Amino acid sequence: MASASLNDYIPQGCIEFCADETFLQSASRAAELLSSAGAASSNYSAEVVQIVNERGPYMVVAPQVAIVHGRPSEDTLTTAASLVISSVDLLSGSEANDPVRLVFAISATSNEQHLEMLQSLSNFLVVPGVIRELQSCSTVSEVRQIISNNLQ
Amino acid sequence: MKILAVCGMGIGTSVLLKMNAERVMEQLDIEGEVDATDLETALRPDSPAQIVLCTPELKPQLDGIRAEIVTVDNVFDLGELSQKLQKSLL
Repeated sequence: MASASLNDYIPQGCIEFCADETFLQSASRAAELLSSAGAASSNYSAEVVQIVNERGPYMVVAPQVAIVHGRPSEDTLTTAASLVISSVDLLSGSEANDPVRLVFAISATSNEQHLEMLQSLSNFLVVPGVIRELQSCSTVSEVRQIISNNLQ
Repeated sequence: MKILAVCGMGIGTSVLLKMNAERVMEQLDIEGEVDATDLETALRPDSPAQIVLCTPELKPQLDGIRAEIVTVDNVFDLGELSQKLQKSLL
């Protein structure tokens, strides 16, 4: 069986363009998208914000890219990811990787499917140029297209 | 060689670090085991890790650990990972 592509893990409605003022607002919004899609509990965004506040911006994993999530819990509903593309520079406090423009949220599980999702996210984000390409998008379908065109 | 990829919860950043570190180690033909884990596990005094991989913001939270800490700015930059792992492992 072919493994699922990253697009399969991003539910409908889970890609959004925004112009929030702060990194925490965008991180919170990305988490809310997962809650709205039924992939995470309703307090997921509060958990995400708490983790950033407690641990610092260690989840800003590449220039302009953050991958946020809540605490692993038994009641995580499905394995899913969301993406907020910011039109403004967000300052997370990451010395190496600010400003942030792309905020992915992932549901917090640790099962096999979760690993597959992270693998497909990683396989996408290691492709040179995709981070810039995503920022030049103005529609969700363009984003979906870039994701499906660039799976290594 | 025992390597720990570390992040706050052990399910996000650390898993990505583990995946890409393994990819690079295979390319470099370096044998070793990489586990993804949370901070608390990495900080245990009986941790067998020789090297700990993390993003720079976690480094101060790993203060006092026995293992060598290697910080990775860009988790998706296999060149950076390759260079830093070679420096520590070879």
